[in-house]
Amino acid sequence: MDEITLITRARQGDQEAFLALLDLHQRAVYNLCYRMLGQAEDAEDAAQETFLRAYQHLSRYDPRRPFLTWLLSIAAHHCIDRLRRQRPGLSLDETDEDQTLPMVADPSQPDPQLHAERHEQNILVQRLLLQLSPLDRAVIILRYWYEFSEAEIGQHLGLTVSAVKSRLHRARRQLAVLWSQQESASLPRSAYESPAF
Amino acid sequence: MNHPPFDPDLPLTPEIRAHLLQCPSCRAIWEVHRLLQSAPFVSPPQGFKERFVKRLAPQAPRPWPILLLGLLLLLSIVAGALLPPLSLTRLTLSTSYAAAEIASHILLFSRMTSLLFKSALLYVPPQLWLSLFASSVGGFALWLLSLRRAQLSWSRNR
Repeated sequence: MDEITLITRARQGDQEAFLALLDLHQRAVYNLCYRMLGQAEDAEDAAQETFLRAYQHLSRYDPRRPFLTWLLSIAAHHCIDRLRRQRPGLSLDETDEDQTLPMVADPSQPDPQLHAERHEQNILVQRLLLQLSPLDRAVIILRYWYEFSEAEIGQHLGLTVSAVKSRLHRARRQLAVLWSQQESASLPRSAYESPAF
Repeated sequence: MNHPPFDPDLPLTPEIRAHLLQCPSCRAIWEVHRLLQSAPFVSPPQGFKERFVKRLAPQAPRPWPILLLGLLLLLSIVAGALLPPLSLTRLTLSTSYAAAEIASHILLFSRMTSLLFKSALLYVPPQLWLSLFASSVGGFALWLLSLRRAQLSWSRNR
């Protein structure tokens, strides 16, 4: 059954159809929540809340837009609100490193060293992301994980294209400074750190 | 950094490569850009869907409010047809104003039903009365059946 049929049936009250949509998009939604919040437990709660809101407001969904885009928009706004309500930012010590490893385990990757490197990269990415403001973080996540254009990001986050460009640039610069600090402080050189240009 | 901000989305020309080797701040932006590009998707833990189904359960509409509303309506009709009209003044004195307001609406409805019932007894012939009764019983049975089906469907969806 294709996505449009599932959406139509879900809008008519078919719960199984909505669960099939959840199957299709849970990874994308959860990843956004995890990258935004940095804690597995918070990410699960936010992802569940996203699907719950989507289920309750399915009648508001515009079928001309991709369903995943709509879900991600709900998730991003929910996470931003949550972060603004809870705390201004997580410290490096608050990242959920232990819970990250099993989730990014890739069974198709037989090389343990490469796997360990990827795990380290993942931790580093999460540490860096959590230093950004919630809105800048959302811009970076939508740009890099979901390959949204600047116009799409602006549409979903209620920003102008120039504001998105500005935030993207500012966030990259901030991340670069943080990355340089981490680089000089402790981490050994690994694959992603070597110049490849 | 005495140059325009570096945009890592631009194609990597030989000039940019040469610049990156010389400029540490632009190189750091490039490294972070690569790091983000290679970052994996994080999958939800096992049982995410099952936990969502549990969370969704209280959201599904329950048939009980409809059933209660229907029963209240039925009771008021029966009360209107069988019981003598109550004194509204007594009710107003013994209960609060808000309760009396609600009671006045119920009593008005029951009085109207009572009046209609008594008029019907005088003017409607017994055969029509019987057929009306039979169709009411049939309608009520159908209503109960539909409620039961709604309840079963709700239980199945849980």
